Amino acid sequence: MNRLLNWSPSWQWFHRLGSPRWFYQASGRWLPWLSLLALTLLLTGLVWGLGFAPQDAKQGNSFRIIYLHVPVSFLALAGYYIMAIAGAIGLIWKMKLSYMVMKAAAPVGAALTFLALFTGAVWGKPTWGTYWVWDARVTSMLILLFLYLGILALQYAFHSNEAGNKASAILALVGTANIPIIYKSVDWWYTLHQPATIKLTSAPSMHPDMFAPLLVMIVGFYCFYTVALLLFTRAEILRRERKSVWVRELALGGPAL
Amino acid sequence: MHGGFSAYLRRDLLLAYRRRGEAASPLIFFIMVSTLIPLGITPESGRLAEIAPGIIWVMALLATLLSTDGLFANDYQDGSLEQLLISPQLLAMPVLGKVTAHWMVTGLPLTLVSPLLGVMLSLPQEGYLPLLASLALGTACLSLIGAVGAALTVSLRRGGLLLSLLVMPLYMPVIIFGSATVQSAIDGFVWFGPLAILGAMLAAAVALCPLASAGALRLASIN
Amino acid sequence: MKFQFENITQLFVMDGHGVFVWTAVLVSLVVMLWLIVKPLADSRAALKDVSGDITRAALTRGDA
Repeated sequence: MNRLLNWSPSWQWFHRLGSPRWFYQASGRWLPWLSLLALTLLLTGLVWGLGFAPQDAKQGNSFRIIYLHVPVSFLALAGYYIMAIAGAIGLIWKMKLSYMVMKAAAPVGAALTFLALFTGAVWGKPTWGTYWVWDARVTSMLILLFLYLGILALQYAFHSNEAGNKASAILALVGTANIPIIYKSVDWWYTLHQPATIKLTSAPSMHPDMFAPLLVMIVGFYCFYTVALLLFTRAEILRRERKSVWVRELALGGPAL
Repeated sequence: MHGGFSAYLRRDLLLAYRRRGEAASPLIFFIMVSTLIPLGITPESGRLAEIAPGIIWVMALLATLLSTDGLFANDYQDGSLEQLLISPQLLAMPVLGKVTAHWMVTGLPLTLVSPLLGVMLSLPQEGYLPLLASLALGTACLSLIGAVGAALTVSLRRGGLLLSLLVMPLYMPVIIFGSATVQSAIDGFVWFGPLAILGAMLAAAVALCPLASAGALRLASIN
Repeated sequence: MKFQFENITQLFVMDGHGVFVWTAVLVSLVVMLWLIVKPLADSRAALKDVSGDITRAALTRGDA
């Protein structure tokens, strides 16, 4: 049975994926295509959204920030789950590469969460008349940023890599269990305190001409996220595998893949 | 009870009794900070009454946070944590025992003196019972969540500040429903709803936090 | 689909909302650029470190 599992081709990809060397080489082949795709989609979406999408009837041109704010917010949250899943895989199957992905996901996610807050604040000024409102979604996003910062702080506090990896994975999992609770409670808290004068939730019904560029931006940002995650993971692989033969060969053999 | 729960509960209570001064400091902190509120904001009772539920809850949270740091630190320093780690029993039960002891020497006294702070901050009459009930359930949640952070940071030098960064975001749902319990009672609404949610959170925390803390404690031996 | 602005200047002004929109765009681009440049620089530094170690080791062996 054991032999069967080891030899069956359906498991081979899993074990190969666990090898940092294989991942480094394979991701080197994927990166040019992914980057090209991300760049094309983002440029198309941005030009379309900023120049050609129709104006919003109520918010005017400031609504165009949506083409950055929404995709970035999506990935800020998705990034936390990706980080936690990578950490869980590391804890369960003791896969080195998985921890490296988890470690790479933390700075990318934190940067995107910051961007979501920043674009939200800049959007808020012309729309609500103030940069900061304790709106349910803004508050949840801020707490998400705190969760990311906690993971980043914990990673660098440990001497041993192994302990640091496992600690971050545990914290990421505890955070994941808490995110739905945090979102629900902040939502509930907000309905309790919502001032009657300002209604912040804009109408969800979007004209198709507005929605199409948004879709392009969301897909583009997913590609961009993958590129950034791969790059951070590759940097982490080189740092961790510095003693291995293939990295030494790579270092002597001129430019990296 | 089983699996080392009561043994560690009794042991930690005894240790806390021997270091009474140390155990009393979160309580003193809780009372002292409440003096800062009228000094810093206003002595006017009407405005104090408005903010009292939230302020008392925030101070209880900070006082718990201050004491969480020491939950496993002493055991780590004197080596008894190593002993616990190599023992064959399930680690979660002793951890639950230690957390229960921690709540009994911090959360429970905080809950019991909170009416005093209510008087000092002119909390309206209807708020006292919900304050006691929500603090009793809520501080237990805080102790359990804090235990995960304390276990993660036990082997680090200067882990205390890091610990507060890690657990503060996880505390936020507790403070939302804790202060909402008191507030809705003052506003004349039914306050069992938010209190029930606090109870649900406590049930979930009792089930999950000792396991996560136990996993995190195992890291102390490899760092 | 048509271009929504009279000319390029209008695209930057956006009826007074241009400041906000273009600030958001600019800051996003800077952060995204950092997300690409930072790991690339890290990788390069790591490889340089390794090759430095190797040459140093070779030198000390040569002296001995």
